[in-house]
Amino acid sequence: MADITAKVFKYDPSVDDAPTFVTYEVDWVDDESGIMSALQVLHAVNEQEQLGYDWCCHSGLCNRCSMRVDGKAGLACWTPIEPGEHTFEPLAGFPVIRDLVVDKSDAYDKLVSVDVSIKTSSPMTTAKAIDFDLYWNTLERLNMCRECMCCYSVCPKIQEEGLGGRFVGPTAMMGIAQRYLDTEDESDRLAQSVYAGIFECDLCGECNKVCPAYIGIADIIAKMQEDAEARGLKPGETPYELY
Amino acid sequence: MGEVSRRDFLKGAGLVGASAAVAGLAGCSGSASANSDKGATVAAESAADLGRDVAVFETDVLIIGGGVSGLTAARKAASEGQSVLIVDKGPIGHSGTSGINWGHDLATNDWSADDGSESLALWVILAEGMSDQVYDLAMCQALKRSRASLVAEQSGMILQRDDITGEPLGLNVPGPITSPHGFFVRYYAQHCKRAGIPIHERTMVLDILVNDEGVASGAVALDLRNGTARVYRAKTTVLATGNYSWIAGWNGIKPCSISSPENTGDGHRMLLEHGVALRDMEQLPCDFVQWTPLATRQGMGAMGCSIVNYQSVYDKDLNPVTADLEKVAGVTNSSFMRMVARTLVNGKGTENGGVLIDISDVEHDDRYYRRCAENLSRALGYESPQHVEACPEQWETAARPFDMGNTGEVAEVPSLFYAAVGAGAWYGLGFWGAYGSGYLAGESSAAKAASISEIPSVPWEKAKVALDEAYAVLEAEPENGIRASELMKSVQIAYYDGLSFIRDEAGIQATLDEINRIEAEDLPKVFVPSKSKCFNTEWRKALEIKSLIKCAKGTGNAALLRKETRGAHCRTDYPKMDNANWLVATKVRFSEGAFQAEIVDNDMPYIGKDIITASVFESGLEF
Repeated sequence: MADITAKVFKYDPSVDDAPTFVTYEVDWVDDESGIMSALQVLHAVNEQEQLGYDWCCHSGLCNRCSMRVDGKAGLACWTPIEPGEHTFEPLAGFPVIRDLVVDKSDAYDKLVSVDVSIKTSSPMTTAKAIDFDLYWNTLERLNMCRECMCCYSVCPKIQEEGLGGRFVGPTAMMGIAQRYLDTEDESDRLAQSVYAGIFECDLCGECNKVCPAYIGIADIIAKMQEDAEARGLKPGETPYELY
Repeated sequence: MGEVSRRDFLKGAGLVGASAAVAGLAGCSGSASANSDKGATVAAESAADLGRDVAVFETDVLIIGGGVSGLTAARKAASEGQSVLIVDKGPIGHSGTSGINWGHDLATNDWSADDGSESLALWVILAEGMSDQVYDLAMCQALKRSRASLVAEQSGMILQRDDITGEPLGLNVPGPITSPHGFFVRYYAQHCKRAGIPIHERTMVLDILVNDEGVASGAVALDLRNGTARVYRAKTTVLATGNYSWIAGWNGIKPCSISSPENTGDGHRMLLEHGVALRDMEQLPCDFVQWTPLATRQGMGAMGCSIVNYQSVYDKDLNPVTADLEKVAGVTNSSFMRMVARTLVNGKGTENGGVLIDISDVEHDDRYYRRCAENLSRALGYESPQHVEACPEQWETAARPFDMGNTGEVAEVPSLFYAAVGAGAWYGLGFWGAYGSGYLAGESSAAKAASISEIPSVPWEKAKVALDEAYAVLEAEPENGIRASELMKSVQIAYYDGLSFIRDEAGIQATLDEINRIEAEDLPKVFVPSKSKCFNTEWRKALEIKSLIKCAKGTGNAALLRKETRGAHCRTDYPKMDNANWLVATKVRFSEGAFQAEIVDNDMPYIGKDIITASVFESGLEF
């Protein structure tokens, strides 16, 4: 008897009118760690019937297996599962390419739209020292963002307003944060963050809960909002209604 | 299911890019098939004769591959004023070995006063003599010109700082090459896209187009999202498709390469099929992975050089693997691999063919492992034991063309440039070769493109052959068909049996026999269950198998020739390393349907044989 019942989202937009869920029975496989990952379940499903899913590194580094397992966004390779019934769906809010693979390119364009190149008045020729705590506990962690787009898929602001809204989105904002916190940069990153909609974020913290790199996205945004407000950069009420 | 609609699909996977010229539309498709019916060879003279829709793109410089090499070549060629287009098989920034975003060591000489010659000396010694010195000097000099560290910080990355001083880790380090962590390809890809370089991701090149004059004139490809055909026309082409490590992996879980499923050796297969001789195909840089939990493939991050204290590596009985360390003048990743091989050959390896690492020694020294243990604990609730079982796995290959001069142009195919790591993948310094060769190829391909007034003619009939073959694989309904993923796995298992890093003649020959059998008997039966052209993973695998087979055969032929132990090529039947007789290159070529392999002299114009012999300690499996 199978230990896992996998309900898997199946959709080939080139032939199917609508998505369906197909149920597969999968045997439990583990070792002395007692851990089986969601990605292992999908490998077993794919052996039974061809599945559209993407993966590469199996160690939380490449981003390619981001999806929803039991409704929660994350990397399949880093989602431990228990015996029983589980659902596998594509990341919410993205167009499906096939089955569990989505097209993240529109969200990716938001990252590209944020200019994170270093701005210095003279050409940069050196790199400077950075405090231990700032490097290891903040900047180096921002480096570890994998662009898995889980944070976009759970951000209420992005899901309400879409990518055309005022808020550039959680991880694109982290690109600005990295330059704001890295004191090498000479441009006004706080102002950039305001123009990129940092005050649109109401700090719900959903992004923090799904980030596989454990970046405290909402905490960093909160600090930047505070700093921006202290500098008088918080947008005020519109004084006149415009018709 | 309300959030997904057909409209979303059209938006997500539109048929062709807006800038494409679409040729050969349905109304034109009759002519070619009518010719086929007569049994005559079809001579396609234009895109309209291909018999199917094809999107045609033109650029000065075509870059195949979007990893460290390809992005560097693209950035450089674009900065020289050439139009550039990148084609990448996976999602950009996340495909191939580079796209795993390990936390890459930025191995570079731009912190030192070296003009490239000291770097070359180190490269040659680390590669244990297996170097094309003319090309590698040009590559090391290109790395210097590239200012890779500044490019990293300018494109959004923040390089590793020293724990105590906070200074960039590259400062004040003796030797020409420093290796701080923190070069992430995802930033680099963003940076190139931001700079306006067009990137076609999830697009798989089927073949380089070499015209009747023997000149590279672009490539023919499939858009993997929807299966549509593409032809790229270019004045020069840079082949930056990475390695063929995926030959040592299957299905992602053990035994498995820690490389990427993109690294099937498609570039090397194309080179071989176009008559290009490859050197040192037998070499296979390895790294180590933490074996438990089964669910993950957590790499150790160039273990042979990350673990500063070699006495923290043990056999199954907790005796140091590196007991002979004092006899070896300087430990390299290669000599470390051979110490591990010796442990395994002597039956002292762990249950799964590895060694034990005392991570209490490394956790606080090594940036990569610090995150590894932390992530396993946080993400999977797994607490690593003090002694972690670590197993060797292949992550790179050293093969590359002969005779690339000091430009990276492939001698046999003018206007084709090559960029990849090569033998310098040793010591975890893959970045060095990838960035240096990419920069060199970018410079050289741009200079040549600038000297060419018109894009060369396209051999449309060759594009047609490649496309017809690809679509036939999708449509085939062979009797007793073998599913593509199963067949790929059988090739990988056959390779692993005899061509994993511990080898002997009988094992290599057995692998070659089995690969030949698979090619003759099983490959014609390859079967793709779904006939949809939309992101069809089995179709892609079916198309990749011939590349794995070609690389396995090339590797086997070269491995039979090198009758000594060198690098991670550990021959139990020839356990000694022999500088006197084996500072040579293996040369493999594919001609008239067969492999030819020979040993050739290795030119050593800068770092002579005497220096190499004195500097490379002969630490084989016995010494």
